[in-house]
Amino acid sequence: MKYMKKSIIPVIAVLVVLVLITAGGWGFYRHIVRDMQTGEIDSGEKYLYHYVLIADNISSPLWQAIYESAKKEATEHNAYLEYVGGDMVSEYTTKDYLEIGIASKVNGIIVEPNGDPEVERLINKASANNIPVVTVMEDASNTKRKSFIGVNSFQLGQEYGEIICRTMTENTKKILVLINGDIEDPSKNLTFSQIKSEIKEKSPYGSQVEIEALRINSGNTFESEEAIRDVFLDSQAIPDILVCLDEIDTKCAYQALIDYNKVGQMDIIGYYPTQSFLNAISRGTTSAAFELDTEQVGRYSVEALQEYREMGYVSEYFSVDLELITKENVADYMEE
Amino acid sequence: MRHWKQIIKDLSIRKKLLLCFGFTSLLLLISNLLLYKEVNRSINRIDQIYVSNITLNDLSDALTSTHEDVYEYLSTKSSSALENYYRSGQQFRDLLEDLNGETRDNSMLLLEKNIKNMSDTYLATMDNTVAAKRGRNIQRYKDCYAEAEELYRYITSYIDNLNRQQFQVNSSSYKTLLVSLQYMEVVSTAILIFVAVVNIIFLVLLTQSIIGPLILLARTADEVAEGNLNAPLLEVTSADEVGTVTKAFNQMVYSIRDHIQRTKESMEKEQRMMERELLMKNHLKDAQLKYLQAQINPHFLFNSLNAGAQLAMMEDAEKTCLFVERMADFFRYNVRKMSEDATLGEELEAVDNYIYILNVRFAGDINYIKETDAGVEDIRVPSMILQPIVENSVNYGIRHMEGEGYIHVTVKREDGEVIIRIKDNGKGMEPEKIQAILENTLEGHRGQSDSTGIGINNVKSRMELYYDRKGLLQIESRGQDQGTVVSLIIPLETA
Repeated sequence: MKYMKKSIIPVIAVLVVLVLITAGGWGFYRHIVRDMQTGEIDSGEKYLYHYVLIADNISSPLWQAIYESAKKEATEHNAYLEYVGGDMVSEYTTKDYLEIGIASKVNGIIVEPNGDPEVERLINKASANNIPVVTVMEDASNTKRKSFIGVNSFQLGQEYGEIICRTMTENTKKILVLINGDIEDPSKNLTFSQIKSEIKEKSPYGSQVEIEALRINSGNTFESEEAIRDVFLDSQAIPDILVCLDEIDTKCAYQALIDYNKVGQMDIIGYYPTQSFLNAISRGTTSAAFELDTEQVGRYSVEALQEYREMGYVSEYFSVDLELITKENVADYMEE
Repeated sequence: MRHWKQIIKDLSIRKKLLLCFGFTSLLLLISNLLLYKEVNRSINRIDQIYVSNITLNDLSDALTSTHEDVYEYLSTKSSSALENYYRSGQQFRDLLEDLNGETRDNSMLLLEKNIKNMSDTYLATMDNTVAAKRGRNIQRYKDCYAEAEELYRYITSYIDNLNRQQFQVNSSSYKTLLVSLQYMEVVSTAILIFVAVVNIIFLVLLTQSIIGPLILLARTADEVAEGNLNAPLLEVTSADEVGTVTKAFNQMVYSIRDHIQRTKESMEKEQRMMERELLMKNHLKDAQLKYLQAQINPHFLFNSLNAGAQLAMMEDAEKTCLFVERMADFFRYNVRKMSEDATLGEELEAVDNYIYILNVRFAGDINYIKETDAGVEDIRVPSMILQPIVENSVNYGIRHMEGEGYIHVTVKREDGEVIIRIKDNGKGMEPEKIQAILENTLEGHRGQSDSTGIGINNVKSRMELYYDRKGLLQIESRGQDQGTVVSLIIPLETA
C-alpha cells in the first residue's frame, strides 16, 4: 500500500501536466482556427455617393496617382470613387465603361475622353440620366460635361515649345511630336500647332527644322509601342528630338531609345516620366520632361462633381499646374 | 478522500475492472465526440465557402434564361415565351434582392451594387423592349433590345468578374480551412495520445492495486512455505477478492502455527516421559548390576544359607539358625525386589532383617526403634529405598561413634503423604555435606565393601522418577555429633 501511495503523487502530477498540455493545445488550436479569416469579407466603409473614374490607361502610375488623390478627396465628401479599367477581365473601352456607369446608376463620372464620338454621345446620355460628368486631362468641350480638369492645350503647346527651343541646336533637323489620340481631337491639334508656332517664332533654328506629328490611335491595343518602334526602324524618319505628350509614349520611346542604341543621337522630351526616365535626365541622356500635379487633378475632379451636386453648377475649367523637370531640378522628383 | 479511497478499494475486482474500462471508454467517447464535432464544424465551414459562387451562378443562369425568353418572345411573339419571361424575370429580381445595394469601400460589394443597378436598368430596358414589341414599334424594340443585349454582356462580365474574385477569396478560405484541418489532425492525434496515456495510467493503477496485494501474498506464502511460520501476517486493506484470499491465508497461517505448537507440546511431553522411563530403567539396571556383582550366585548363597540354618537347627543352635534364616530372607528380598516395586511393609521387614544381621555382626550395639501408623504396610513404593538409607545411617552415622547408637524409623500419614523418617544419633553432618550428598557430588564413599551397594542418590533418583516429583528425600542435621534425620516422602495419590 505504501508502494501505491508513493507512486500516486507523480502519477497525479503527470496527469495534471498532460491535462494542462492538452487543454493548452486545444485552446491554441481554437485560437488559431478562430483567427483564420475565411470568406467573411470586410464589408468596408459605407458611403453616400458612388463616383466612377474612367480612363484608358487606368493602371499607369499617372492615373494611379490621380486616382489616389481623387479618392482621398471623395472620401472627405462621403463618396466612394471607383476606378474602372484596371482589373477587369474583358478589355472594355472607355465607351463601355461609360455605358456601365450609366446603367449602374452611379452618382458621378470622371472620364478621360479620347475623342471617340460614341464617348461624347454617352457623356450626353449620362447627363440625361442625371449623372454629372467631368472630363480630366482631355476635354470633350462640345458635350454636356459639367467641367474639365487638366492642362490647357494651348498652354501645354507653349511650354513644350519653349523647352524644345532650349534643347535645339544648329544640328537639329527634325522634330517628331507623338500625338496620342483621335485625329479629330481638336485639343491635340491645338497643342501641336502651338508647339510648331512657338518653335518657328522663338528658335533661331526655327526655319531649318522640320516639325512633324505622328498620330497614334490609342484606341488600339499596343498601338503606341508598334508606332514608336516603326519610327526607330525607319532610318529616314528618325528625328533629332522626339516629343511625347503622353505617359505611355514617353515610356515606349525611352525604351526604344535604349534598345536601338540611339542615345546621344536623339533627344526625348517626355511627359509624366518614370524613374528610369528621370535617371536619364539626371545623366543628360534626355533633356526634359513635363510632370502634372496629379494631386491637383484628382482633387479638382472630385471637387467639381461635388460642387455641381451641391450647387447645380460648376466652373467649366479647372487649370492644373504643369511642372518642368530638367537636369537642374530632377533630384527633387527622383526617389531617394 | 480517504472515505472515497476505501470505497474504491472495497469494490470487487470485477467492479473495479468495469469501472476502469467504463471510465477509459467514456474518456475515449468524449474525446472522439469532441473531435467529431470539431471536424463537422470545419466541414460545414468548407461547405459554406463556395455557397456565394453557387448563388452567383444561379444569378447568371436566371439572367441568361430571362434574356433567352425575351429573345424567344421577340422572335416568335408567343405568349408562353412572354409568360416564361415574366417568370424568369421575377426569379432574377428575387435573386437580385440578396445583392448589396450600398456604396461600400469593397470591390466585391461594389461589384454587387453595380450588378444590381445594371440589372435594374437591364430589366427596365427589357420591359420597354417587350412593351414596344407588343405596341409593334419595330424600331424602338430593336433599339431597346440592342441596348439590353449590351447591358446583358456587361452584367454577365461583371458577374463573371465577381465570381472570379469571390472564387479567389473562397479558395484562400478553403486553403486556410484545409490548414485548420491539418492542425486539427495534429491536435486530435495529440488528444488521442493523451487519452491513451491516461487510460494506460489508469489500467496500470488498477492492475497494481489488484496485483500488488497478490504479489505480497505470494511472497508471504513463499516465506511460509520455506518454513518461516513467523512471517508477519498481511494487513487486509480491501474487501475485494484479494482481501478475502488474504484473510483466508492469514487464517490458514494461524491454524498451522497453532497446530504446530500443539504437536510440539505433545511431542515434548512424550519425549520427557520416554526420558524418565529410560532413566528409571538405567538406574534399576545400575542397581541390579551392583547386586549381581556383589552376589555372584544368590541362589547358591540362599541354598547354602538354608543348609547352614538346617545345620544350626540340628545342632540346636537356635540363634545361629535364626540369623542364617534372616540373612537368607534379606538377600532374597534384595534379589527379588530390585526389578519391581514393593509394599512399605516388605521394605520395613527388609530393614528389620538388616538391623538384626548387623546386631549379630556387631554384637547388638545398634538400638533400632520402629514406629508405624496402622495401614501403611500395603502402600506400594519403589523397592529398596529404606534399607540403603538405614545402611547409610549405620555406616556414616553411628558405626564410629562413642556410646550407644540409635536408629529411629517412623512411618506417618500426613496430609495425603506418608512420611518415613530415619533418625540416628550419630555423627551428623555439615549442611555442605548434605548438599553434596543430595547433588551426588560427594567423593570417596563408593566401593565400600561393606555396603549393599545402593547409595542415597540412587534412592532419591528412583523415587523422583517413580513419583515424577522432586524433593522426596530430605536430609536434616544440626551439625557435628548431632545426629541425622533422613525423610522420605511418599505421595499417596500416585502410590
